Amino acid sequence: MRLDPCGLWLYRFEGERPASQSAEPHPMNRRFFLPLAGALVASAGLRVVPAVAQTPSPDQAPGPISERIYNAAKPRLLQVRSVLASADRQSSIGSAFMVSADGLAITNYHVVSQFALEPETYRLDYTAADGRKGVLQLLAVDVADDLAVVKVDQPAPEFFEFDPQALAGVLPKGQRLYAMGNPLDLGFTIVDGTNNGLVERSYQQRIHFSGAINPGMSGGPAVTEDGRIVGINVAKQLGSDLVSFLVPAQFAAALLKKAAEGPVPAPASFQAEVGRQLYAWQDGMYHAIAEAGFRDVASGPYQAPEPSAPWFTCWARTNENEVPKPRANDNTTGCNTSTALFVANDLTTGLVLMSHAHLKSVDLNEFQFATFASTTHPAAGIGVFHRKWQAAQACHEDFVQAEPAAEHPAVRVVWCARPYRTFDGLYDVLVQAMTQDRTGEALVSRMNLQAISYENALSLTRRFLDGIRWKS
Amino acid sequence: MIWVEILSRQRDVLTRHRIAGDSLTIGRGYANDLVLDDPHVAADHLRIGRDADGALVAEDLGSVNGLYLEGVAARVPRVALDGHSAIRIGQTLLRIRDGSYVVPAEQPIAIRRARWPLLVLLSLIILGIELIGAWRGDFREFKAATYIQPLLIVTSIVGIWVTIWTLVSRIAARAARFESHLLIGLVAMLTVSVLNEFLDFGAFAFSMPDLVEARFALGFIVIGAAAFIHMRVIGPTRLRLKLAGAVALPALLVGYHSIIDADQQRTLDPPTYVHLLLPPAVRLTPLRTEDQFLKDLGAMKERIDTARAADKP
Repeated sequence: MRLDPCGLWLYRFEGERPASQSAEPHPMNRRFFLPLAGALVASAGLRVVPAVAQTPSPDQAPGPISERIYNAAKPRLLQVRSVLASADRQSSIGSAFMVSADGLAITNYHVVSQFALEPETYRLDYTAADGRKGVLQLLAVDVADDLAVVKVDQPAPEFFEFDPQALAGVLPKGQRLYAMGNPLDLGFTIVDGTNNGLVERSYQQRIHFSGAINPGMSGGPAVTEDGRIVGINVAKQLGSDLVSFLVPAQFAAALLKKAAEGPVPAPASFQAEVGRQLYAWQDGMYHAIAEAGFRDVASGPYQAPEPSAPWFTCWARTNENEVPKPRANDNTTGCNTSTALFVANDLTTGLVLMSHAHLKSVDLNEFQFATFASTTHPAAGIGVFHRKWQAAQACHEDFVQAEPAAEHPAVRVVWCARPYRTFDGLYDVLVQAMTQDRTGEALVSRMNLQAISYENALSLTRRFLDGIRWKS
Repeated sequence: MIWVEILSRQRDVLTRHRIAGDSLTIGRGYANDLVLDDPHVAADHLRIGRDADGALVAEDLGSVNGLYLEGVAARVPRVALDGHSAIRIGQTLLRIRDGSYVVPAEQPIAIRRARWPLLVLLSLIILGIELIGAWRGDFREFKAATYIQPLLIVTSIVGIWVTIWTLVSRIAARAARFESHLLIGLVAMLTVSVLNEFLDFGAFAFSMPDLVEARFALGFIVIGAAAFIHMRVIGPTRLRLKLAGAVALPALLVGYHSIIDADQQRTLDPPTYVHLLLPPAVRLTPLRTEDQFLKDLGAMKERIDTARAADKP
């Protein structure tokens, strides 16, 4: 994982984007290259899939475990295609699995996100392992846990059941798991791997699965040896080997219950639903950050707040050993959340960053020092500005003195908010404060809050500014 | 004795002809006393004579294109000549003066103070401001280019500007007047430099990022004013037209810049805050309390939301 907060965010977070959205453009994902993919599917099918007689239940079937599991699972697997309706061609591919007799299936939100956000432009198709094709109906989405419930247009005689241990959240670490799906459109595949428990320091609960999940397997099931669902394939870490992630089964069970009970929503209603879920998600996360509290870290003569919530990754860097020798010292510490929320192919959000740079002049005069501070620490947002998702930002700046004045240095604050276009009440907010009490030495504190409500942003701003004080 | 002067459009005397006697004829034909090669002039176009009082009078001899007195729109068959106003036949401007025309008194040659010390002083001030600016912002390891480059840039700008005006002056007024144009160019450059410094300081001192934007408008106004003074030096005629040009030029530039700027705001979305920080001592605006500041931020929400609703790309 990269920990450099300046400029390299994209690399860092693309690593954690869902599998089908990997940072390296994968030609197999694209319809454009499908003739090649088609040839691969044909030959792979001949080599891998053995002609096996019908196996009614995994427990009684002979043969190696994975062969048993795959044969039992095969009729319950689906490939999900997001189809550009006007061209009648796929634009992205994922997997899904049947979970009820009346045709309900579970997949990832990111597999159906194009349809959920732009139902006029896209359509959801499925292909079953036996070649049956049809149209999927979207019943429910859970953006925070990257899940969706879809319905096939015919009843399903066979379907998966959830693993009771997984629902209870007591899965033994080291347990063998089997993940299935259709990677790179090569054909349905089973891979085995190990359950390594829940990912530490992550706000979103994810199972760390040590197995090869590849683009196209998103939304496929991960099962135990007896074929019961423990999780849903969701992502892999780029730049690592076999580090993959599953959404725990209990979230899927909860969403399934909600979808089975509720009325069938209109396709056009999902965009607003995604907005509502994002709003609720940020409310939960930012309140959790506030509740977990802040600890004071010392930087030179100052102290500044750092979030105590366990899902922040903290780091430090210095310019001490740079060549040529820097004319002002820059010691920066920072903390950021390491999970980002997938909303659409070109929109990942929900990132939080706090950093404090202690700058001290070596041989710069006060003007040069101010230029050094403004050049090396510009008040910049994080991520890429997409006009599709966001409107113009507005900034406000002023010199601020927090009370009591005996404890707080005066700071110059730049505060910027960029509203989301599609989702009401959400903003990307930037707060940057530079102390103004000394010449040739300053603390530049920065806070980036993605997809936050205005109220939460204001209250965190207050907490942040209150925390910038002289060392006690 | 009568003098006939053929004038340029700028009223400079192109040629001057001395005619002995009390009358003459002017036309394209070779029977005339003065032959003009203007195709819009009749073979026998004009007759200059004297009236009963002995004053000079011009008389149209029945040409197609007629006789015009400067400043009068309609053609005239006959006109008294005062020696000041020009007359026009065809496309030729003429001024006719009697031999007894009284010229103004001789002007003594003024002993002007040498201008070069002022020009050198202004140049040094401008270069000094640039040098201080480069030094103020230099927080990296020393490189000569950091200091030479701004000097080269400002020298090139003034050099090109002054050269153009000197050339225009040489062509239009047949006098280069290099020193005057250099003086104007240097004063304009100095004004822009000092304005920019004030705007940079003001933007930080008062937390007003809009001041940084104002530098373009003010810069263009200085350019317009300088252009007007250059044109006045070249020739004091048609000042209204020149003034209109001097107003229109910055207005057009400011308008163009704000259109580009508005487009950028929408598409590239550069954040509007003061990018160049200065030492804390430069601050002039009073400190806000945290409550006041958060209240300001709260008040900004409506503006952001309105802009969001209005922006439908």
